[in-house]
Amino acid sequence: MAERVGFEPTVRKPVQRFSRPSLSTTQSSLLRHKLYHKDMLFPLLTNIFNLHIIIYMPNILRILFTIYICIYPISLLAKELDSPNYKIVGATTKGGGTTQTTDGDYSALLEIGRISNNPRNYSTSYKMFTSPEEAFLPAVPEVACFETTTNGSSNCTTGPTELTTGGMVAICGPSGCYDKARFEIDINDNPTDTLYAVMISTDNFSSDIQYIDGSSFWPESISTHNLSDFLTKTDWETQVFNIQGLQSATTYYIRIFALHGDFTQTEPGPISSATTSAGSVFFDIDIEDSTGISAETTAPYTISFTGAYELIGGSASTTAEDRIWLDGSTNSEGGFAIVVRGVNGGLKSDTTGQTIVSATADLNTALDGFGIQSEYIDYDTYPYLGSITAMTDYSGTGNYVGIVGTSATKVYESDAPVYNGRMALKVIAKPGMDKSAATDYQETIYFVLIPRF
Amino acid sequence: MKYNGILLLPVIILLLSVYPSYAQIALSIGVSPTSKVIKLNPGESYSDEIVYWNLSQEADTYRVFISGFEQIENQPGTAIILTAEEDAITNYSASKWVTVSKDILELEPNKNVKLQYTINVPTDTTDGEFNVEIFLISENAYQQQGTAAFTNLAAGTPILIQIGDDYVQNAELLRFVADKKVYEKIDVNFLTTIKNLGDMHITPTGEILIQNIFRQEVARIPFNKNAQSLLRDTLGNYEDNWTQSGYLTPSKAIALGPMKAKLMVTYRSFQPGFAVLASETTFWIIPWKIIIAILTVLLLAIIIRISKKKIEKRV
Amino acid sequence: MKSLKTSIKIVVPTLFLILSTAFFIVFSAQAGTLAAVYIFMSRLKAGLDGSGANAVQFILAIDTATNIPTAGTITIEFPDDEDTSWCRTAGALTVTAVAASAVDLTGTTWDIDSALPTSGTLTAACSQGGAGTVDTITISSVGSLTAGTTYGVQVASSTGVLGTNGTTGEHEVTVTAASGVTLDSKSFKIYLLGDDAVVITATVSDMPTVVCSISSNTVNLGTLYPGGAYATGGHTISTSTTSSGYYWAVYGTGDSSTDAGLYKSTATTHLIPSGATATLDLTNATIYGFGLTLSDPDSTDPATVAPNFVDTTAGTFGTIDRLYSGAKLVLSQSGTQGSAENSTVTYGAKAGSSAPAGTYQETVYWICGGYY
Repeated sequence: MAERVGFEPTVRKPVQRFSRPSLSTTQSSLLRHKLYHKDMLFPLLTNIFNLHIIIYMPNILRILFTIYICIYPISLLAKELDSPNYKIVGATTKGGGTTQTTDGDYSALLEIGRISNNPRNYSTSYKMFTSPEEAFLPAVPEVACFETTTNGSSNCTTGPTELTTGGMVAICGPSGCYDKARFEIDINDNPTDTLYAVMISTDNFSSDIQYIDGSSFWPESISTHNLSDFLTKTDWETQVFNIQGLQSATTYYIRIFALHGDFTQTEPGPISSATTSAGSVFFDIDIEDSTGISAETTAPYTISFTGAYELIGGSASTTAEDRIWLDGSTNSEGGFAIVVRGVNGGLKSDTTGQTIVSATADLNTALDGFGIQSEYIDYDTYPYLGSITAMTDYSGTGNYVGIVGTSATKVYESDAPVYNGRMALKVIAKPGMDKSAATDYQETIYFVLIPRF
Repeated sequence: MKYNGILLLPVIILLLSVYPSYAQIALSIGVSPTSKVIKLNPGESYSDEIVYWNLSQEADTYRVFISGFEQIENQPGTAIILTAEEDAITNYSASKWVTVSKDILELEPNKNVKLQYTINVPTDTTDGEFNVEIFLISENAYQQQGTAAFTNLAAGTPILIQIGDDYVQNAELLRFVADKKVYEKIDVNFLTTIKNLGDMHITPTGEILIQNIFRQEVARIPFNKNAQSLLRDTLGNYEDNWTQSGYLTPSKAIALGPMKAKLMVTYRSFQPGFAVLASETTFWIIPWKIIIAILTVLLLAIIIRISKKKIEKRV
Repeated sequence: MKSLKTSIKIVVPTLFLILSTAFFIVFSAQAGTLAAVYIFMSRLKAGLDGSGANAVQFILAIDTATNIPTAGTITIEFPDDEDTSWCRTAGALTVTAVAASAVDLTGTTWDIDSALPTSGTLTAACSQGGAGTVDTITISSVGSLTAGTTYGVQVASSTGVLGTNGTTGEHEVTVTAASGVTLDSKSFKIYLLGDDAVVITATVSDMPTVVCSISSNTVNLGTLYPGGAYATGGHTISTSTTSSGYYWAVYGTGDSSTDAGLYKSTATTHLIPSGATATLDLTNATIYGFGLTLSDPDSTDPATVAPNFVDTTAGTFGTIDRLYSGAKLVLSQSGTQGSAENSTVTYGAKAGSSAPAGTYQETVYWICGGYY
């Protein structure tokens, strides 16, 4: 059977498809082909063939050929075809064979008497098939979506519903993802068992070229890129964040290529880019009474136990009228922690030299004390984002307070990115009967929000 | 049968006094301020509050009483309300001037409760000092079975209201004595009785100077160091104590034998030096046990000496 | 043979050239990101100059994605247009490896596993940025860092002084762990506030206070045997005050007309009176009545039990009267009492031989106050 040569545009589907023989015919042919090339003494014979070719070719061709056989294995494919779609084009008895690397990941299909990969066979949009396996090539895939910071909508369709309706910010938090991304593949009608690999770069593939590892989804160098980094569209897209380990505030470029059997890796598809978020954090303090859920106040922030809230030595605990309201939001993956620290470790009077010492305690039973208690927590609820909780010491009820000591203690924590966190703390004091009257009892509480990136 | 009777009797007695289960609760009340002194004019209105709290674990209920008050057993600085009848006839009660925001206070555990009060001074009030106490007495529903003592807790805030600027402060010292005539050890209680003849309360202060037979100052103790006030038209008993271990003062004065105590008290808030109450009393410090011991030793020494001489003479 | 030699002369070097180039490509430095990092600043206020009360220190937690060999550095770099605001004075900093911080998220990579190791002695310094450089904190002599382990380190001012930039809002910092050509870094945001402090002020009132408690409002007196032994029961009272002293007084109810004492209100009514004498000796077979004693709260001065109510003689109790005017002072103290002190009250009761059987009860009113 004479060979056929087909033209394949680099971005479009093949204009011509060959008729596909029945499965059994194809399988048996293939088996014979395989046996002929692999299971006999062919590795050794192939090497002898190589040497024979090298020795008897002209010098320039020899050099080119040497380069070819050194580099070509890096980009070559090697998975056993087990596809329902087989086709034979031009069974031939001419010379040729395969050789494999010892790990079995790479094979070289060697043909003699074929049209070479001479650039004159290329146009900007079209390339001539130069070897029979090219007729088996899947369609070059495109990037259906590659997103990091989309907001309000998304082109990604197989991800979580929150992503589809809210964009990447709905699954990564404010300002989007800073160290990961999601891409989806437009398979261009390729069969479902087609495999894809992803190339990634920070400089549009001029010098920085890496691949996405198929199990960790982190970029990896060429040296560790192998067959296990080729996954089906489903396998890639089941992972919500299928590119991870990125740097923040960096533009990344990806392109995808497909594989559908040994020797059928396509050219990489068109490039798509996205820029990771630079990270986002927000913190604010307001002072307002217990109704101040939406209050916005400016510094200085003071809370007073005076007037109707004046402290009486030996009396029951007094809760200050105002609360300490906090805003916190971040897209850091470890969420945030809010810690407090007091300058004096309690309400201290310079006049009397006495301190109403702060400790974690139930002020209903303690004779003397001072502290804070969480009264309110709210945040936007997203299934992929985090929640805010108050630490145990600060989660009490009644007059149970947590310490504001001279060492920092954690009051609130989110375990993942959070939108619009809003919290309120009560301040409760109880001076003992031994506390002398004075107007200058005072404590300064420092608040620190730490995002964990 | 005899045995039956003996057994039955305790049983009958036991049955007669039923052992109930009592719903016992603790009572607690905190009050601030513990007292108040206000200066007002006729026709004036004054509002303020008293803070109460309950440090027990159960809620306690208190009823609010407003009445004039008097000292308890002539103790200055103390206050107990008058009965309704007594309040009606006393000249100095301001109970009718006062209104409060609540009649019953439910004190929840560990909460401060404020009781607002207003004093409306009538326009025709004479100058002088009037008093009123806002007094809380607990009320409890008792499981009333069996022989028991029930307790109620009461606390109040006496309020002294001075009307006008024209008032008289006058007092008389009725008595100043030591509680005993002879002391073995120095633990002397000085009892003083003062009568307040003026029309407002006084807070007498002063000191008691103690001298020995050589007119040396042995001690100087403050009089009424708690600043307990004496209501108008009332007698007050004051007690001050002098304690000292040993009979020698730090300034090497001997505190033995006849002692003289001089009391000097002032009570006026304006120019106190012009109305000084003074009195003296005497008492003895005789450490008789030590004296007898010394005498015994001396006597023995003398006897032994005399005996020795006699023996020598014989020889 | 000759052409074989020639071929080999060409092919082998070419092969060698290509393969050696490939080696270089394989072993070039790949800069990775950090798996986890946080910076815990002691203050978030913008514009702190780092002196005195405005001192700033940093705790850094870092988990690299790659193993970083020993003798490396960790740097924290600040934005380019904020030079000299983070490193207020260039120079050496105090550096301490820490094994935990209050910010740790337990069980995650943001939980410090161990103190930052060193290849010798940890040193740190801050340098100020200029044209083309940035304020940088550099920690040197860092030991080898294992990917997956989170290390902690604290830096504070010493010769070098750390401060904060004067602009509120987000600031991007870059943390890098490097040794030789191996480095992992991450850029992220920290946030500065206009004011990071909430000042709590309080007045403790100068109004005098008194707190009084009774441990139980009901005291079971058991059974009174007419003409028999006396029964007792009791509770405690406790007091604290900031006024110049406190006092307790007591009055009873009795039959509401004659005297205080235990009263049987059901027919046939009967009063076991407290008595007309100041004290009762209930050990005496002929004496009956109702009275009470108090224990001295502080065994020495200043609290004093009134002489009739001392508990020094077993069986002797002070008597009480009715009504407000019958109130008797039982306990007093001159001077404040900063912490609650207790006195034990013991009631004593004995029925006369003519007392009918039944339930006898008395309501005792305890008044407490502070001296005025």
